[in-house]
Amino acid sequence: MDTRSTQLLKGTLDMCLLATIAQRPCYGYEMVQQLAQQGLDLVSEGSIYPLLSRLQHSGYIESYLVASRDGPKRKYYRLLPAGAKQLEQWQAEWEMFAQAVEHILKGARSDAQSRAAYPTTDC
Amino acid sequence: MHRAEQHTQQRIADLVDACAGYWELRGIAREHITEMQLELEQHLQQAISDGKSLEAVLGPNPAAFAEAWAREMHPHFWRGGAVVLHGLVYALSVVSTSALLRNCLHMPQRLRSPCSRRICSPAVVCLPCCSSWAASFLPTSALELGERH
Repeated sequence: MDTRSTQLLKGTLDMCLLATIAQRPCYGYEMVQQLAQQGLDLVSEGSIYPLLSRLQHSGYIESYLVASRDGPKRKYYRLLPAGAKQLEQWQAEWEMFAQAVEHILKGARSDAQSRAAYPTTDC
Repeated sequence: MHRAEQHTQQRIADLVDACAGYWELRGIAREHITEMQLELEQHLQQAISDGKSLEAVLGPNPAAFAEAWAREMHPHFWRGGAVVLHGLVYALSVVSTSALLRNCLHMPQRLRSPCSRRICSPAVVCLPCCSSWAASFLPTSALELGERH
């Protein structure tokens, strides 16, 4: 069964990929490495490719091949203007969502603290 | 090259080929398949050289991975689906025509279905029998990636 963090990452992976590509053009494996460096480990690394295809079909990113010294050409992805705009919108939505969750969690924490300080029989 | 390394390289090649076969079946353009193959192979090679398993890249079900990627490539049509559909239409037409003929000729015998386990009434088309028979036309090798090794 998937853990909660896996589920959270599934719901935000497209945004994370777009943000990673926004920093600099990169190829699939590099993106996985960058996500891992930030503490986001994918259950299956290949799951980025369907999302990259979706982002590409949506006109948010484009791919191009770069010659490699030690092997065949490598496929890089770079951000397009529509992708930059979409990323801004997703970031704003995420910040609102994260703030709302944070607010609820803070409320739950302060309730728990006050219950510990003034215990009652009520729920 | 060590034997284990050779085995891993063979597994990578088999997996990439199987995915490519499935994508072709799903109607994805050849030039896209070539790019997808190359991208997948490079990722698998790099993951293996970093000490990861093939499963870390493809997950526990490589067929699901291949299908998830295919879905996002917006194929023009699903060739496998078309085969099943044609098979179903053919099976239904054969069975219903036979049923109709038997009814017209007042033949009360029961008609044996293609799967031979179930008896279909002449007047009623038995969909489970037809679909299982028609499904036998669908190539399954691409869907059995996980069982190859």
